[in-house]
Amino acid sequence: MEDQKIIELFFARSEEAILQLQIKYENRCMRVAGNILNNRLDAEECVNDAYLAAWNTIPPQNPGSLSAYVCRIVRNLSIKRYHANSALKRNSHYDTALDELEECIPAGESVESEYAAKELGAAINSFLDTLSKDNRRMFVRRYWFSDSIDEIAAMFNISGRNVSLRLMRVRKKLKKYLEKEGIRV
Amino acid sequence: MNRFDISHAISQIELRYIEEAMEADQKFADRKEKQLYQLQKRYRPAVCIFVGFLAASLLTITAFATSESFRNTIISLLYPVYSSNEIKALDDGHMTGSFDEVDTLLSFLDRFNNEKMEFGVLAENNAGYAYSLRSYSSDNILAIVQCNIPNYKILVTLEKLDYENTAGLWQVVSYQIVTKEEALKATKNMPEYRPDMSDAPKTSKTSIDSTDSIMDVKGACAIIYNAADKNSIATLTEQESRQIRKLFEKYEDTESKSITAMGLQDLIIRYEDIMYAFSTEGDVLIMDENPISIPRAQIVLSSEDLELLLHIFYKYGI
Repeated sequence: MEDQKIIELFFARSEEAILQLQIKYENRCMRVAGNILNNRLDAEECVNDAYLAAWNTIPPQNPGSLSAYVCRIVRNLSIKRYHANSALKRNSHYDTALDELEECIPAGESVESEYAAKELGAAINSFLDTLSKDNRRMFVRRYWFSDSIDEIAAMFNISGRNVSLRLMRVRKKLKKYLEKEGIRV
Repeated sequence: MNRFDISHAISQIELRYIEEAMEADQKFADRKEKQLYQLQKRYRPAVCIFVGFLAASLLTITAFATSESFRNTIISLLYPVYSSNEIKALDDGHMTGSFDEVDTLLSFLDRFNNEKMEFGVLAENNAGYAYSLRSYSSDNILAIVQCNIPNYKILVTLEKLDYENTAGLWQVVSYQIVTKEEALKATKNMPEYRPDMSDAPKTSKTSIDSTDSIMDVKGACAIIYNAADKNSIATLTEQESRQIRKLFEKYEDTESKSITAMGLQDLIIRYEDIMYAFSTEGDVLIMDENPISIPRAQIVLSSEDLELLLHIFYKYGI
């Protein structure tokens, strides 16, 4: 079913909307949640919570891309769950992605964390604009979707080594960009 | 900055970038689907051929195992020589003549095997060829010869040709590889061949049913010896002489086992005596001697040999 029709079902408050959403995006949502949580039960729970969140937010929200919207909800819920679990273990793809990013974020002092995160988010968005389309996609696949290097390599039909190299260059660029923008977080 | 803040910052990536990244995923899925389709498309004919071949093989094997007629058809296709009804005529270069039809046949069979006239087919030779002679007339013989292929026979045609002042010269003019059934069909109602059939009755007084019979050869020889007066000896043809000699030679391996058992060596000696008498017309040197004093012995004879002896007995009223 088309995304627009599913959204219409949401607006009509038809429970069929959840069913159709599940049919169309369950695999994708499970993958996003699974990459972060590395636990199938936790991932299923987050995905179900995301359906409920979508039900509660549409309307009034009318997302341009339903898949991106739902995936973002799934990701946010998964990150919440991840941080709740993080004291117990660190073994997901998401851990690896975060480790890589930590190295390229310049260290700052005595800045409000929430503000810093927002500022950093905006800087990353503008940095993404400067990247080529493929590099941008790889960056988002790696650090937003938390896909593994091998998955990205298969997706772009290139070698894993090539993906690693390109991502390393992007991270270096990001570091320079953030320094240039005077962002210290 | 802690990991929580970094993940929070990354979460703020705009939806358009996320959507753009999702396209890569979609393209990958499409590519995979396309590859799978191409793979299927590429190998589908091969798979279809393989499945068809497998099914055909299974059906063929099953039919081959269960149906005798199908099995024979397949063998006929693979080895056409065995079932071909084609008569192989011998060219002049391969024809050899002899006054003795059996001699002619045996010579031919020797050459048939030695020269491997038919690929994979040999006349069976276990201390002698196994054959049976059939004929409607005295100058034409059909020999059914056992061959190494089960259920197949070699049909050999011999013809007697006029040759100067002799009784005739036997030659093998053709042969044919046929199934046992075809051999039976070809020789159905055809009587057993006997030498000089034009003179002898068409059917023998004694019928030969078994392949091998026990015959008191020594006794037979003695009977011939005793019965042969000067006149009857004179009527023994050269061919008959040779036949008897061959018969004795054939069984020469049989040796005397005791004083009461006579071997073929003894018989050959007696034969030489008989021949001597035959060859010295008017000489009765040994004619009055009584060879029956020689101990009796039993020797296994083939049906053809027994038949030959009986024929001679009959001809000379023994």
